[in-house]
Amino acid sequence: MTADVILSLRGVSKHFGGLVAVDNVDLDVQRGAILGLIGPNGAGKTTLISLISGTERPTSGSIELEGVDLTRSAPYAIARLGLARTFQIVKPFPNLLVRENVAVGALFGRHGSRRSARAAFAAADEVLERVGLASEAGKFASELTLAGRKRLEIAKALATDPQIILLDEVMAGLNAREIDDAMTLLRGMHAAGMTLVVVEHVMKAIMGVSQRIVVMHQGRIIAQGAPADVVAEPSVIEAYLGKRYAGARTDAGGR
Amino acid sequence: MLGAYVTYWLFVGPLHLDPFLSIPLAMGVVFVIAYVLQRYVVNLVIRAPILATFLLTFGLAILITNLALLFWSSDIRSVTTAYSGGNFEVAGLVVPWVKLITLGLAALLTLGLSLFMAKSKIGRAIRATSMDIDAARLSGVNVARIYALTFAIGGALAAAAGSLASVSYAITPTMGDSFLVRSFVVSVLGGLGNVTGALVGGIVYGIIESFGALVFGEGYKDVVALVVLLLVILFRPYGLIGRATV
Amino acid sequence: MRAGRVVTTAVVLAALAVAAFLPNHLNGNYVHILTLFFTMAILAQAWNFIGGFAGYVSFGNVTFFGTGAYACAYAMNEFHWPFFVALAFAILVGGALALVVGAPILRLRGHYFAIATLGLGIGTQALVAQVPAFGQGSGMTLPLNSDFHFFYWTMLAILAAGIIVTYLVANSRFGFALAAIRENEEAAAALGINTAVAKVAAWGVSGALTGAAGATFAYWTSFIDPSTVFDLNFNVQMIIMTIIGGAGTVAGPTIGAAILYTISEYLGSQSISPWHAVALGAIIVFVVIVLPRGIMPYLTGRRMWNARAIGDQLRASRI
Repeated sequence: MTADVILSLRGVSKHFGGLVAVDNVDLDVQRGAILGLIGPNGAGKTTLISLISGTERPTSGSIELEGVDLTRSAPYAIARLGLARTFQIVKPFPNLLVRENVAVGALFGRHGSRRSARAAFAAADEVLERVGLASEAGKFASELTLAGRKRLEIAKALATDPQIILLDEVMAGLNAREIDDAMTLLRGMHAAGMTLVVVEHVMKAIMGVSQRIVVMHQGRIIAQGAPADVVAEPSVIEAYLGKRYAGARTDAGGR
Repeated sequence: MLGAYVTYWLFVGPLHLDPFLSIPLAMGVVFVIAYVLQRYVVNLVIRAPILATFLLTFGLAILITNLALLFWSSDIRSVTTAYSGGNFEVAGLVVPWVKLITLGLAALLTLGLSLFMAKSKIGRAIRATSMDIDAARLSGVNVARIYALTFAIGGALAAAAGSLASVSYAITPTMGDSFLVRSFVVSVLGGLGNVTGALVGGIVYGIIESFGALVFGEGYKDVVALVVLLLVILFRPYGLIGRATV
Repeated sequence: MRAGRVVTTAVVLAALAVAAFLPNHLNGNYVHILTLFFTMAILAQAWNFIGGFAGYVSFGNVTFFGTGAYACAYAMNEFHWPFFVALAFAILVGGALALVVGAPILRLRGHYFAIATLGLGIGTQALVAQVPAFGQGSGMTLPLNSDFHFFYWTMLAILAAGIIVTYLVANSRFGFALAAIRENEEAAAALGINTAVAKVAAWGVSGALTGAAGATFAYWTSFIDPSTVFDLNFNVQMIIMTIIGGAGTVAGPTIGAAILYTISEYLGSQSISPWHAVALGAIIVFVVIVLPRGIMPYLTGRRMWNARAIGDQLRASRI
């Protein structure tokens, strides 16, 4: 593994009984990059995220983070190593305060064991400031709007001081203005040196933010490269729109 | 327990109704009671976490059992008919009549229930509601009534079991307790939500328990129940048949 | 971390301190009643660790009560250990049992966990009833000690210790981790919490404390048999008490125990036994439907006592 690659997948597959959700995926994620992961519904994107974050175990293949083998590790161990993820269907702690929600990440994440409660809450406040939730810190997580909860989801992950963060459809359900805010947040995280893997359906967001895009279809990677190149590839158009449109070289920039 | 008592009172009262014939009546009485309880009491906590339903039904059980103790006392009662002790022999095995009839009725009721669930409109409504309560409601199902009906059917079947049990076991207000864990085990063994699974589970469990009693001694029956329950839950939570309907 | 917590804990501990002086002024009957109340309160406090903090509803905690009782009886009869050594032994046994059965059973969720713990209690009761060394169903007797004040103070001390431990846990990383697990276990794991270890540890504490109560109870009553010390009713009561007082709070279980105990004692003293239990059943039904969060939200002002608020809450949880 070269020094530039932070996360590496080799031959990763996941079978659920007869169903092949992820099929022999090889992937390298460069340190400090923003990698977009797209594909039609059911392509296996979320499964792949779950495999990396430890929620699911691969049927075969290996996953390495900074040279450390993660393949069979438990989710909490992976989080402590510096890989964080958000969930597509957000998972807040409803009866805890927003501040406490984020403090959990600060207290149990990568630097958590060395932190006192006070330091953890201070770190949580910082993160809340960064994501723009500082004004809601005293509310219960159950009182937040959807946009707020999505932000909280990111904040919790950020609080674990990750080196790399996997974002699973953080834009889903947001309006245009909220999407812009989210994109700004992601760019900010990237500017601070974090590596991001972003799974998205909102084309505008993914195109605007990613440096490189990976397209999945039926569990396999069917295309990789710069955004503009990838969306023009016939196989990608076919996957999304079917064979009929693959021939026509439409501008699939998705604006 | 209630079913057993209905059978008992019908047996010793002026009607002298044969226990097996009183089963439909026992089922009917308990059906109504269970329906009312579910519809107006248990339905109040359906959306709350499962703990609420657990506790509520426990509370109701305590209530009903102790009311029974109050009105009927803890005296042990039994139902003995002319054929209670009778056996018949087949291939060198001695089979008590009563157990045979019980098996036959159990199979009959199971068949009836699974047909009902698969073919009837209400059966489909029940299955739909169990998969997604909101989708069912949007499709026009009156979920409050369906929940009540489901519980009532379950209660009626339990009453039938109680009636059948009244012939072989002692009738007391607390008789339901020892059957409780076993019913959990059998349900899990057959797969929660699987009707024929329950019958299969019941037979399989019966065999396991009898063997356990043979090997370890009569008193170890409940221990066998626990061990089987834990093993199944830990290793095959969807039951022996293995379909994930939960 | 939460303001009201310190206040209620202090108040309850103060009340217990006052209670320490009572035995000399009360007749034996009241001492007996209060000792039993302390026992139930301990069970509720212990249950709170696994049920309230971690959110895993155990119907099998009474197993540790019975195990502690039998451990103490056996230790005193066979090893001839003095009570306090037997008590320590029971605490270890209770805690160890919880750790051992917890490892596999806590992998289960929701109703599976509840059912498994239910089976645990019933199965252990049946097992104990078979073993000759434990009296094989007819029970065991312990050395007689008629110093009722001794038991009063011992139970009181264990209860106070239980409350203090709860307070320490609630304000620790461990307690915070348990709360996160209760609120959303998958998210908790994704943020770096070793959920398996935390859950099992919580049950271990629960088991140890419950075992202590069981041991003291055994010595106090001088006679134990399987159907008494493994009685499922104890478990249902400890759950209801905790719910009434507030699951996941520090002193809530004790407060809830006080409320439930007062009501059922009042009703029970009026007439014959079954009404007592009937009342208990009715109370359980009432609490589950109307007070799922216990009475604390009403006392702290977060919920209103008017019909409309209660109606709203009912509407949220029914079909």
